[in-house]
Amino acid sequence: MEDYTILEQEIDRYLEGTLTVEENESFNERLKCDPELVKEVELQRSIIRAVRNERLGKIIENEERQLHKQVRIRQLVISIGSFAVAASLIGVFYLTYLNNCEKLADRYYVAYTYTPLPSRGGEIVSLTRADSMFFNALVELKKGSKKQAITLLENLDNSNYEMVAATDPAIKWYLALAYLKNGQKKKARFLLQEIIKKPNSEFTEKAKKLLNEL
Amino acid sequence: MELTDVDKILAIKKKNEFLVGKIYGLYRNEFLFFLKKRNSINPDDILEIYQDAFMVLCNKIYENKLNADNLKSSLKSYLFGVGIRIAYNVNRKNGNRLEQDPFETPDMPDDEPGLGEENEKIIQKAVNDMGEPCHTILVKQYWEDKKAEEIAIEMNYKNTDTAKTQKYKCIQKLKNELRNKIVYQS
Repeated sequence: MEDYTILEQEIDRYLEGTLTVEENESFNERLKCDPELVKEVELQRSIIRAVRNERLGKIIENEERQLHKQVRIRQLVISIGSFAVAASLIGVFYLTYLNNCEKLADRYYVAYTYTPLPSRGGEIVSLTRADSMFFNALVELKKGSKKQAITLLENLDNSNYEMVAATDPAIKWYLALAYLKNGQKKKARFLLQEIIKKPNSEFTEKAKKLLNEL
Repeated sequence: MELTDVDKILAIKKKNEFLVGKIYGLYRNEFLFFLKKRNSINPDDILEIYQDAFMVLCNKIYENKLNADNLKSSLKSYLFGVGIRIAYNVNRKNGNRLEQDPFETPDMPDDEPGLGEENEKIIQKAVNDMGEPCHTILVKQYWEDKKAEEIAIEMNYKNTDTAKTQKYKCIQKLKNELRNKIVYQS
């Protein structure tokens, strides 16, 4: 080996602890009286540490990345879990609310009875197209097709169709029940208030009672 | 399976990178929490202090200053002791008042004069920026603990002596480069 690296070799062996006992004693003696040698040893030791620290730094960086990833996954799981719990609670609350509304509407639902009245000439007055729509709506409501019942009854409520069997308070009453079954309390309440405004209707008392319960 | 302190020292000594990472992670959060409670240190500095303390611990093991026979308490106490000392030095440097530290460990390493923090940074940068083949040779020698014969084979050197000469040339080159940059304290 080339001689000009002899000092590096000797320091390396000293730092590794591979000098013989005699060599080590002699090296320590030299260190005591040679400050330049002390500096050389410190510099070489620092270089070796820096080589190891470079690799340690990479291991630490990698471990930090893993730890952050774990924290992010934990946060994500917690967020998803919280969201699922919140969604379930809202779902349960909404279903309970719907169920309560539906039960109330069912309690007040009574089939609409129409007794045909003869005209002055003794003939039975035939039902109009609007009456058919009304009865269809009631059939849908009874079946549980709330949305179809609402569409039909809203159509009748907003128009001036000629009707023989159905009356305005009857349309409003069954539409209010349909809204209630569908969980639309506000709309139902508004219609019930409209019914109450007409005191002679057969639905006025029922509307008052239902409003109180709402 | 839980590692004992002897297992951990051995894993660090053997440079088992997976286990070294796990040992680093093992005490990390506890140390950060511990130091946050005890010292008026900027939270951003605490992680850096832990990383420096972990490197000091590893180097003590690599340099045979700490081993399973001379460890008097636990590896954790040793690591925390080193970390607290670094934290105190950071506090002193920032001009913060220090309270008497009741934390004592029989393993607390002696403060080595060394070359100083600034010089260590310069040396670290020089090593990180080192070109090839020097970087690979020094990593093989001081991290992978390869023998000259293995380095010679892996790096296609003529023989063991050539590999050794190349390694010492690299150290010499680095030292020459650093002599002009580092400042020795008188």
